[in-house]
Amino acid sequence: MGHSSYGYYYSNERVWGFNMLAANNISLTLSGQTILKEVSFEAPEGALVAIMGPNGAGKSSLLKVLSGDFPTTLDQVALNGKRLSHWTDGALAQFRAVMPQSVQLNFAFTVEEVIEAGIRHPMPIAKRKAHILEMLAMFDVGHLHNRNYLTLSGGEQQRVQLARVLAQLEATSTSETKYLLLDECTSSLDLSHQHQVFRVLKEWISTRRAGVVVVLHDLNLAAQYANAILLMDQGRVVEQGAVRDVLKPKTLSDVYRYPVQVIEHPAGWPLVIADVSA
Amino acid sequence: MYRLFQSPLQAAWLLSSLLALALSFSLTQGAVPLSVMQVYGTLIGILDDAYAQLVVIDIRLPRVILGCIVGAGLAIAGAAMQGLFRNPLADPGLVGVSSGAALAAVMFIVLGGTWLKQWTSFWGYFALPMAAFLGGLLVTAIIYRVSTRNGRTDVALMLLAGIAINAIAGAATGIMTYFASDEELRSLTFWTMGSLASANWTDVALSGFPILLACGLLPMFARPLNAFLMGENVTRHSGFDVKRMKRIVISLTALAVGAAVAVSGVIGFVGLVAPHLVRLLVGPDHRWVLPMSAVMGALLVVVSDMFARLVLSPAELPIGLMMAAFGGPFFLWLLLQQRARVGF
Repeated sequence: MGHSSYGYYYSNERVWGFNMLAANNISLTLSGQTILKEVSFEAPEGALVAIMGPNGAGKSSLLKVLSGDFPTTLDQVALNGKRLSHWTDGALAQFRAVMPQSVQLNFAFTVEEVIEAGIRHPMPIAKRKAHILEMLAMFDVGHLHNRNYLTLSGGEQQRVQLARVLAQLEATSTSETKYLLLDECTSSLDLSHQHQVFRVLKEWISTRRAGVVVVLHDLNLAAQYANAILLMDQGRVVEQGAVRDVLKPKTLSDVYRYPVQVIEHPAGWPLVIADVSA
Repeated sequence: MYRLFQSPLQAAWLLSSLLALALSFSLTQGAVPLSVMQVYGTLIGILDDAYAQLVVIDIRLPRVILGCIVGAGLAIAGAAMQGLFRNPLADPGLVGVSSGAALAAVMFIVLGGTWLKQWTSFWGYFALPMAAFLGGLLVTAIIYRVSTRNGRTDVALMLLAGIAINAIAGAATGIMTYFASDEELRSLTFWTMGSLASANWTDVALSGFPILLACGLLPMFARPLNAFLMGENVTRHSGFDVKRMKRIVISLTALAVGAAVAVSGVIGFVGLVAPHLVRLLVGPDHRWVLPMSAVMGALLVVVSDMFARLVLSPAELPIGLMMAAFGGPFFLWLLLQQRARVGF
């Protein structure tokens, strides 16, 4: 995924970025603080793109821009060739789902009800139940379907939320390319579940017309599963492109302000190691 | 399992039967001793007793029906507000919506004949509930603005703002009642503690219309409210029109509270206790919580009013006193639950 020139507005309808999620030259200032500066972004169909960078780099803010959470940037983000402002919330929800970093719930929903609450599309009861159980099982939380969501561990809650957003997209069929936007969706998960989640995501991309954007801290998870990385620091894009082009020791050491080595993993992907000897 | 009923339908049947039972029993109780035969004979029209007719048809029946309407309105408003604030402690009484509505009602009564003449002539019979509705709407908007940021409600701010508004509205209502002549205004106790003692068929019609509207329309927003419990952005990304939902739910809530307050004063804690009891029965799904809270609220008010009439008969306790005696400790218990973080 290299650089491409977009920004040509063809008409009011299809503008730019067919079959992709694209953002064009985003700058964002919140109460005097520059959050994002001239960020452009592309996540094409079929790709898993990781947004990375140190704390406070603007990763979550960029994901919120891509989700349409800031009214001022709606016209600079295009989804499947139409600006975000063009779509209604109802239409968007059929092919784009967003998982925030944390979901705060004060009421004792069951796990099943949590998933159901996020599906607007009407379904017959039996079909809906089967659908929900199937989605839960994909993230290894099927056995928890009748449990009080609030009594689950952080990692279990995270997997339920993953099941919720996938269930939302899988509830309908549409001709549009589908997108999942996930903010640190594996931060509370143990090793095996982290990998399970990314395998499910890769599988989903390969069997559907779909794309995934994740905000991620674990460089090695990105190295193993991402097709492209956007590396950010202080609201700007430092590097973007294929995994190998971004995960370079010099770049990473600069961005994270910590010495980093990159070696070749026998399986053929770059392995990032924080250099403790330095 | 942490719910009393696995089948919400069963719980709904139970509640409805309890309400029917309470209604029929409540009709037989009162300051005037009437036999069960007299009461029901009059009701179904086979008994021709002018005195019983007066007591049953013109006093007791409107009173229990008004109790149902007021209870249903306050409870469904409480349930909807708790969804909107994403917190089970948001009660129309606690956060000041009821006292705002009461203040507007009192202002209308005192000023209605002079300053607000056009208002009165325009709205006719509905001028009083409309005024209360606007008062409630204003307070709801203020509280929401004060306590909600980025779709998250700060509970402490919400309750503190409620204290402030209750104090302001309470003081203003008090001053108004002292300046007003007796014919203009019911007592301060009526507005602060609530009462169904003066119930008549006009009150039933006045409050019944807006509250039935709220009870009919609010459940249509049950699904977006369910999503809303996980946050404003989650709701929008799930495909619901959040702005529209918030606007309509806030308006309907204020409408129900305003209508209830206009005819019965401020009866506290119904909106807190009823939805919570329903959640204990069937869980927090608004598709059940909203309609069942209405039934539960009706049940609570009808039963409380019955006790309010019976305890010191032939004198009466204010019904708000009964509700507070029960609701106050309940509120404390809820706070403890919140501390334990087990959810509602």
